[in-house]
Amino acid sequence: MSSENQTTRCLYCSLACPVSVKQRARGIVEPEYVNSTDAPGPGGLCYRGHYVAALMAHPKRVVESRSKTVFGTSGGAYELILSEAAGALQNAAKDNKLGVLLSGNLPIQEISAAVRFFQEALPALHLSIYIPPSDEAMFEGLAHSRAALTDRSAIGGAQSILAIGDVLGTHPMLARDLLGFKESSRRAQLISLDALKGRTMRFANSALSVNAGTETKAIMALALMAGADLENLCEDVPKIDDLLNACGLDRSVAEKSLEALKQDSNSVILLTMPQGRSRQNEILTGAAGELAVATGSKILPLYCYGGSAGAFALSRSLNLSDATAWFDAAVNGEFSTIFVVGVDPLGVLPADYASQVFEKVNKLIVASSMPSATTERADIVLPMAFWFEMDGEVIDYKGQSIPLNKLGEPCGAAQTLVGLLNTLAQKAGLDSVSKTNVEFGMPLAKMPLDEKYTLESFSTTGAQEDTFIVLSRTENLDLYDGWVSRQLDWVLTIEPGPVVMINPEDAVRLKLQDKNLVSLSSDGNSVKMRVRINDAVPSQTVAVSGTIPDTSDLFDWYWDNGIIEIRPGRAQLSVLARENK
Amino acid sequence: MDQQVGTGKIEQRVVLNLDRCISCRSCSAACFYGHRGMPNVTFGVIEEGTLPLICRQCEEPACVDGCPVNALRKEENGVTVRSRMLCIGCMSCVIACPFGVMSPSLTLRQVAKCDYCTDLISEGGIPRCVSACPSGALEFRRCDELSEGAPLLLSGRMVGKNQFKRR
Repeated sequence: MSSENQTTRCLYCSLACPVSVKQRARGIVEPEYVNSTDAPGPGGLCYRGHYVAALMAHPKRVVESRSKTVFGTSGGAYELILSEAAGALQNAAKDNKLGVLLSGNLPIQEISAAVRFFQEALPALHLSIYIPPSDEAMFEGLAHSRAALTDRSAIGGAQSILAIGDVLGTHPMLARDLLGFKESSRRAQLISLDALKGRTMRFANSALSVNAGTETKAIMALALMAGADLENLCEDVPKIDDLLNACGLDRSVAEKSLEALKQDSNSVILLTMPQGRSRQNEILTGAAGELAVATGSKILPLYCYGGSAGAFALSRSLNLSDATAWFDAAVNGEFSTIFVVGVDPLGVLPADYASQVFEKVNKLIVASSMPSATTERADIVLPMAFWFEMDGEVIDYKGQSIPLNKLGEPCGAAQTLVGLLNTLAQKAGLDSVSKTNVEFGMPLAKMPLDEKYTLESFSTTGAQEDTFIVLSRTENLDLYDGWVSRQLDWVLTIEPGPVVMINPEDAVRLKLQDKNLVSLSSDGNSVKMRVRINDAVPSQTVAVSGTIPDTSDLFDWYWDNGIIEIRPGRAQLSVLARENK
Repeated sequence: MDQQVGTGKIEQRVVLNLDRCISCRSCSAACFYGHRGMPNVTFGVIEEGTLPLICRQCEEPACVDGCPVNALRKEENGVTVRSRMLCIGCMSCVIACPFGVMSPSLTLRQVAKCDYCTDLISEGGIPRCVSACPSGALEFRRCDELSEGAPLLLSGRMVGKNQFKRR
């Protein structure tokens, strides 16, 4: 039985670990462990890395074209489907009603060629490169920051490390670096600032405990305490005490941590972001940058997708709009045809909003490697290769190239992005596409700050900008949950804590008073909480703090892959005790 | 019914350093894909997270004694293996295992059983779960090395209530 080993880089997080697969005869694929200086220890792969091999020969992957109007998938039908897709793209482009959403986690040459194709051969009304919203916010913040960026090798030389967010949860392959750092010296200090109190905090020497949703304020407080000047970043900078009170951060612990960072000339700040795109996340990054400058630390940005940094820089250099604006344009009915490439908007957007995105679209064409909610809704599905079946490179946050080698040929009729566009171009009688080297030379840290942030972005403005608010309608009561619920004004006016908040009218109807003990149930689980009556809460609504351990049982979420996913649940309230004790 | 209990003694064991496990489940992913969708690493849910439970390859395996169809066998190298052809998914072995490391969920109507990745260790390699572990929490150690260090390694630092003082 012959076997062949191919190695590329994993793009499922910013670490871009080497991943190798052994492709045996008959298409059986196994992940291999690479003995490389880039790989920690014997060269493991995290759960995401293993997906690479699993996806290559996945039995459910999209291997043939499908159309709602053409019967059959092979032979003449295949040609008809391609012609239908090409015709739809051309017609929509003529009417200036074509929307194109490109995945940013592909080789940069493929993205660049696709952008050129759409802009020159098939002018799209609205073209956007999609990267995870938290990555977008991180790069926006870093672009405005004066902080020096570093790489993972800096962990070994540091004495003090501040980990913002659950670094080990989102980037498990840093485990050996961090645990090795901790064991290297008795003076080694791992400081964890994580509102969710995740895995990193379990291993930290000291913990900066903050209320959920207030990391930005905590980082701003730390930066101000370290002597940073945030006036350049934000208007009307709050006072330190106000920030500390708001986030619940202990001043003495904060001072101790800052001292440790300042004393070490090689200190590092590991930066991960809360989910979603909001001005708060941008300020968080900017403030972390100022904190790094004030303490003499360097920042190691840990983002979600290996290809995000290059795609972001390319998008900005071409003045493409971000994905949020693209989705809004779709909701406003500006597109008659949408071409989605390698993205699953219906899978990542809240259900209500997602249904609006494609509501006014006549034709939805999706190029995808795996079936998804978006391919289910699509009129035409075109099979596309995964990024690990393409040659090329991605660009990291320092502007350095990470080469990618294809691990194997795509299954069935799947093609690379350039191959797919060439096929469509041929059908439509357009010029073919070719890959060229990309030069955009725009280091993230050198981008100018267009305008200062304002304090408005702390509250409702930030929340409104964030399209990932989770709302769930129920028969009797609405349940607001999720990280962003803490950005709602009426939630912030109430002290955060494991309380269930209801409207006075509902309280009267349910014969409830402040501090009554109730059991709130959702998704088959229930949590005992005290009632907090507040007229800021809309009628027929209950609100609880989401994404904190006290209430996590209420939500159907999982965290074993490091990603928080909250699905809407039904809320039921039952009274346990009416005493206010 | 005669049970096939071999006399082979295991030379190396997979051990878990609780102080390094970050509950990332990479070991399970490696096992899952290495065994064609049949994961042999189960997880114990404890207060602070999830920790992998990997077969201890007992010297006198209760699972082998409990199997009514001789689908489990102890090999000469000390590893207890299961026959896919013979296993009827009755879960007797799951009940018999005193350490709870055999998963009660059936895959393809069969019980999954850790075989220490025999295909790899027979060629001098290490089990997939150990290779995959990003934190170095899982180690494939010689038993003679473990005689002194094992109790400390396995139970000296159990996850306690006060997670910050402990470390």
